[in-house]
Amino acid sequence: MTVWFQVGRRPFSGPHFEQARLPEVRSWQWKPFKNSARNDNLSLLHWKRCDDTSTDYPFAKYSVKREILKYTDEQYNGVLQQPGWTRANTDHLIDLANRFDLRFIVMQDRWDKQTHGARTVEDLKDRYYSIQYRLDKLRDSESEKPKRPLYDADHERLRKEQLEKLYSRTREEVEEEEYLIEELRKIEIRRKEREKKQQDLQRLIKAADQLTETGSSNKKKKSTANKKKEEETRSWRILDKPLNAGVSLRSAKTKQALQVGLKKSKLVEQILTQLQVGVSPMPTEDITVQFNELRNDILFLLELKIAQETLQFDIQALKHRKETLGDQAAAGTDEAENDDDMFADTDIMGLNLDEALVTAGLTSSCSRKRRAASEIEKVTALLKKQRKNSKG
Amino acid sequence: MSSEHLQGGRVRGISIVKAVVTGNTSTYLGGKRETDGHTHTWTVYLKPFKSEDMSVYVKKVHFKLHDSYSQPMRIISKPPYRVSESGWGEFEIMIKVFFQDPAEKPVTFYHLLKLFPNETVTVKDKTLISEQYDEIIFTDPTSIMYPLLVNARPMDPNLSQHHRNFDELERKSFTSIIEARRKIKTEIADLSSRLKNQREYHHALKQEVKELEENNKT
Repeated sequence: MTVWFQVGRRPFSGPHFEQARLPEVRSWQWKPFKNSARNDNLSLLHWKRCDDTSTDYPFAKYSVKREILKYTDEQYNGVLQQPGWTRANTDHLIDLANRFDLRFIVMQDRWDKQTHGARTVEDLKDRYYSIQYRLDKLRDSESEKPKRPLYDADHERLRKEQLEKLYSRTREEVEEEEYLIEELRKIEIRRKEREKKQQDLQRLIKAADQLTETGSSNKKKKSTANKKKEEETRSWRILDKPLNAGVSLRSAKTKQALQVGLKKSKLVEQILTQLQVGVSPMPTEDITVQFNELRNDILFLLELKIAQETLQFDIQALKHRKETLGDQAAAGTDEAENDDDMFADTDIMGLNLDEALVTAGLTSSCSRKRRAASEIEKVTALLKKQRKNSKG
Repeated sequence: MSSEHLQGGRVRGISIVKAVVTGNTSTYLGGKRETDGHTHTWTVYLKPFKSEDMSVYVKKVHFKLHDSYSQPMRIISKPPYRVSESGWGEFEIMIKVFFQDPAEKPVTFYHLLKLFPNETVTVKDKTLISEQYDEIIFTDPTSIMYPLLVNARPMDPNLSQHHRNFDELERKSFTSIIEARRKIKTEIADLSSRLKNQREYHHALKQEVKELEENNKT
């Protein structure tokens, strides 16, 4: 292709190519040029288009010369003196700045250590920019604020140090940190979940009060308003829509699936068996209604139990926190008095609900929770340590 | 179709309930029969809970037996709706009831054929009986079905004698459910009060921890 363009001939003479007219090829020249950015008057040759009339080398404008600070003796003695820097040191700095165009890395490399003592890049920068700042201040009127912010050498040192540490971590340390961050994320998620459950708690307790009230007074004559309220406060219920026209079996109503997960449904069935009611009672109208109410009640009890477990877990975590905060004596007595009555397992007719819930995977057992709580402590402690290390 | 109840050929706002019993009896032959190895003779049936001529509204009943039987689908179009057979094993029989008006969809019962005694069956005079009660609900029956359902002729009351005492079963089931509800409600009340205490404790603890944290800071 290139050859074709330069020579300006068509390689094929087929019917399709006959029609394609190519533009005239522009001509180029091999010409000498001078770079105005150089001061040695060096002449080199390069290809240049014939119609290009520019005289200067086009890349010369990119060679920007920074203006390097200058000061008089008067200025130096007036405002530029600084402990740790002699006039000779400062002059050497400005000289290097001129020579290497403010490239501090190079300047530091060429710094005359023997005569002027070892300096870091930050030391050089700090000195240079402080001179700049002071000269600016001297020139500008006093009311005006300094134009440039001060160079913060300490911050720079810390930043580099941190970068160095980050870079020199071992694989194990990287993995540990990733693990810790992941754990922290999990803890955060769990905490949010618990917070949400806390909000549900109020709702549940209210619903429980209503249920027990209406339940003790009269079994069947529940006012519809109350029932409605109850349904609103619950997050689930057995679907009891009016029957569609057509034929159905009464027994189908007792077999209707609960509007909850499979695990919970199984648990409800288990409790029904324990209560000696069974999962498929004789399906008369009254029995079907009562049976479905019973299933709702059981579901509600499970909901309460799960809420209680969550609260218990929170209490455990708080206790642990309290202990680590150094109030061990008080925490110890609290545990003794509360564990007995408040944290007793819920038994329903010989069915250990806690165990059942654990087996169903709906909650985790108390001991597992305690362990989880101490895990949290451990992880937070490790994280703190990690942070301290990276800072220190 | 002039009545306001009748919409789309259905009598609105009416539910008719027909109680039925599905079940089977079986008798042990005393050993393996030489010809086919069968050990029991049995009869599976569907009958009304209160004796009446079901054929007025029931067109036919399908009994779907185990596939190992020759002609597993037995179609009975006249009462008594039952199938007598012999065999050696228990299996689930699908009983599908078709109605006189094809606009009413058929309903299906599943009956587990019982041959061997356990706590769910009764044994009378060496005959084993397994029966279930259920109710067919006709919601907004079709205008064809409605008169058939309400006018089904009563029959010999002796025929509605069931092997199982359903009245007692109903009483027992109802009491046990009511009792269970009472227990669950007690549990709910109990748990709820514990929950309230725990919540208070939780609040107090939270406050303490907060204070401790602030103290540690200063």
